[in-house]
Amino acid sequence: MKQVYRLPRGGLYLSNLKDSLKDLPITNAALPPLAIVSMVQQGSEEATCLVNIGDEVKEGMLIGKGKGKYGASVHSSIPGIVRQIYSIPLPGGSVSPAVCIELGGEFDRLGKKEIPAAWQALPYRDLQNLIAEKGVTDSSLRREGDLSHLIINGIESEPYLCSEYRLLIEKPAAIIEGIRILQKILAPKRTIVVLEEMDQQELSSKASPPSLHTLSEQEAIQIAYVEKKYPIGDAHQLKKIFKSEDSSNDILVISLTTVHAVYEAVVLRKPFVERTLTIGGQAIRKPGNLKVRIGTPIIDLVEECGGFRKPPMKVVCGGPFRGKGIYDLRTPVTKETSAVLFLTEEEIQQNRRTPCINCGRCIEVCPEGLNPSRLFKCIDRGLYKEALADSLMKCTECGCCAYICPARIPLVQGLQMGKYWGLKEINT
Amino acid sequence: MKESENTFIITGTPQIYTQSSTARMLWSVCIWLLPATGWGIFLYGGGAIRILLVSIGAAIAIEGVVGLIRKEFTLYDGSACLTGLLIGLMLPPTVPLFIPFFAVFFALIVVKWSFGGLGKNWMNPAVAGWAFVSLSFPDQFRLWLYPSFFKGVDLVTSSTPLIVVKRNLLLGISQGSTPMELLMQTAFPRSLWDGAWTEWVNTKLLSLLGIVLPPGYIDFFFGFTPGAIGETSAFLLLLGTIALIGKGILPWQVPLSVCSVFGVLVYIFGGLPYGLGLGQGDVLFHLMSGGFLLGAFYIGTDLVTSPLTKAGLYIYGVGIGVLTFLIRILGAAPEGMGYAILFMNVFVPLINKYCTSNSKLLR
Repeated sequence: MKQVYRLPRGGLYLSNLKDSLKDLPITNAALPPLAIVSMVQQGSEEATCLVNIGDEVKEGMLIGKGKGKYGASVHSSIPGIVRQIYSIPLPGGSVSPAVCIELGGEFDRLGKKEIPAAWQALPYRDLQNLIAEKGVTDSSLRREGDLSHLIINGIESEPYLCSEYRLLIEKPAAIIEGIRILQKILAPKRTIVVLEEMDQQELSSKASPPSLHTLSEQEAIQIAYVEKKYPIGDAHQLKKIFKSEDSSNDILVISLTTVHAVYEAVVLRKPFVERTLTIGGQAIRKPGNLKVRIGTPIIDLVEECGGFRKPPMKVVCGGPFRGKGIYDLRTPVTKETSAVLFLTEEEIQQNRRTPCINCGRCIEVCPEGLNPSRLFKCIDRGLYKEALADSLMKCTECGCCAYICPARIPLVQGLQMGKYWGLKEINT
Repeated sequence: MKESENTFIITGTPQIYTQSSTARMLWSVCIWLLPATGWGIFLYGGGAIRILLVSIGAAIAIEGVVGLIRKEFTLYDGSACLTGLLIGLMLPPTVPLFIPFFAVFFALIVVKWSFGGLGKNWMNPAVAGWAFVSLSFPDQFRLWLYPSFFKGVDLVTSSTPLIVVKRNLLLGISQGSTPMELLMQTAFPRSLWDGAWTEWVNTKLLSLLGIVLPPGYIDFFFGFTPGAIGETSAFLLLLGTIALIGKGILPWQVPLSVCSVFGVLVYIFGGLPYGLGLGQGDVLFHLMSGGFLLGAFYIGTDLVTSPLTKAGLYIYGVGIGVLTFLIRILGAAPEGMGYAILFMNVFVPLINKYCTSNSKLLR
């Protein structure tokens, strides 16, 4: 009997928001006539721009050099001519310089046969450099020394997101190869692929061969199942679950998107210039899972997906819990855009804010066992120290409490503010 | 690009919320109280309508005036309307119209708004308002009505079953008979249907189990007894509660613990005042009388004045059950539910203190 790991406490069952999107195969989005490639990717440090206006760039050419020893590089996602270099707003409100490339010229890779390169002989340090060079920005890959658990996170715990699920179904061979590369770099004692609880048949019937299961038997890859509950796919929660099995806490959690990017960087020597993402929400006519070039403006994706069915109230980059809203549809896709959601008023359920009615639901759903209502009231009255004493710092800002709150109290923002002011008060 | 067509809102995380909201929850409770309200109006006619109109109207007016003074519109959240409705349902159908007004005034002004409005009151406003008028004007609470279609008689003043039983107990009339037998002995009127339905239940359903239902309980279950406007029909109250608990609006922990603790205590000790032995208490009679179900289902479950966690809700429910038993069976007051809730309201902060994350004692 297979064991299903559960979230120790709290959490929300929301997998129904994924069901309609799960079975949509990954399709290639049209190439953008204009790509806007941000120099800040995945929240890493800004890369140094290497091109000027008027320069001709090739597909996959280095256009931004990462700072520092392992700084991740930025590549041109399409061939063409640099038309502009200007500041753009990123989801979440920060501003980054970006290179605007107009499509034109020859493709070096598109449509050509990809020849896998041998990597087994390379030392781990060269692999690390290769990965950073190709623009994979996950800093945890740069670690040195032994690791007890490598957890491959095959769950997108937020509702709507399912591009990684599609990768797992459609490209298991690439994922397995990617895991092998990571095993070589990180030398973990155990490798665990964490998947959402589903029936074995579902996976083996949908996944193209070789399936992860048959391979896991021969290799040192273990498969673990977890329940479908948000936020079990958070690295923090997975670490907590697997830490209890082993006293060691030397655990690394890596997402499937990164595994796939590592595979492409090492085996295909292909820079990180495209990713799969989910287009969802009730406002879009044809939701789906798309393979999109980095820098594609979101407005192009709207056209790709048949335009709007209803006017969206919010456009969100990322999942509905931790994703950020955007106000301009020209905002480009970045390496961390796991989804673009076009949400209608009915999906958002904004409603009016009322006073707290002490229903206790926030306590019930908090995966950290906190009392968000009380913490918020403390912070609201400026009692930061009391909030900190109530383990405010354990809050991971998963948003379960704010989602469930019938009074629509901005608990996540309140607790964030409390952490900021509380730490400030302690430090002075 | 037609930019003017696309204006999106930007908010903090999370980007989506659950369907339920404060207003939706409170209005749902109001709506699921309507069957019991309708039953009260059907039984008592114009008198009930006038009392309900005054209590709900006063609640809306007072909340509106407070809103004007505080410059915030709070009527949409449904809490004032629910308080008004509950107070109306807890009153006898004969009270003069200043009673509901006073009760609502006390509930909203003294209990709710003087502490800062919805969510900040530490006592249930509806029960507090009811307790205020029932203690201030006890004479107005002595007049109850037989519903119009009792055997031939038309709206005759009477007493509630619990008051009759209590009075007889105090007079020492009833040795060795259950409360229901006591009612029968004192010629408490029964509806035209009770006999036939009891027989049907006995022959068709209970005969399979070898149990016999004595007469009288069918009246209690469907609400053919004198009592407050909305408290008599166990059936309709149960219907609304099942709907509300099913939708996840009311916590089921309170009704469960109140009813089971009270039921067990009544079963074991409830027979003693009647000269019966241990384990001879009449559970059904006590569960379906004296506003017990209205209190356990709709008032004890009030989110604002009940504890935050599941463990807390159980403790709170057990407390209400025990206190109701003590007041009703051992004390002089016939009903006890309202006072038990008020009493436990006072302990909610203490319960919360030991049941939330601060202390790992009762998580």
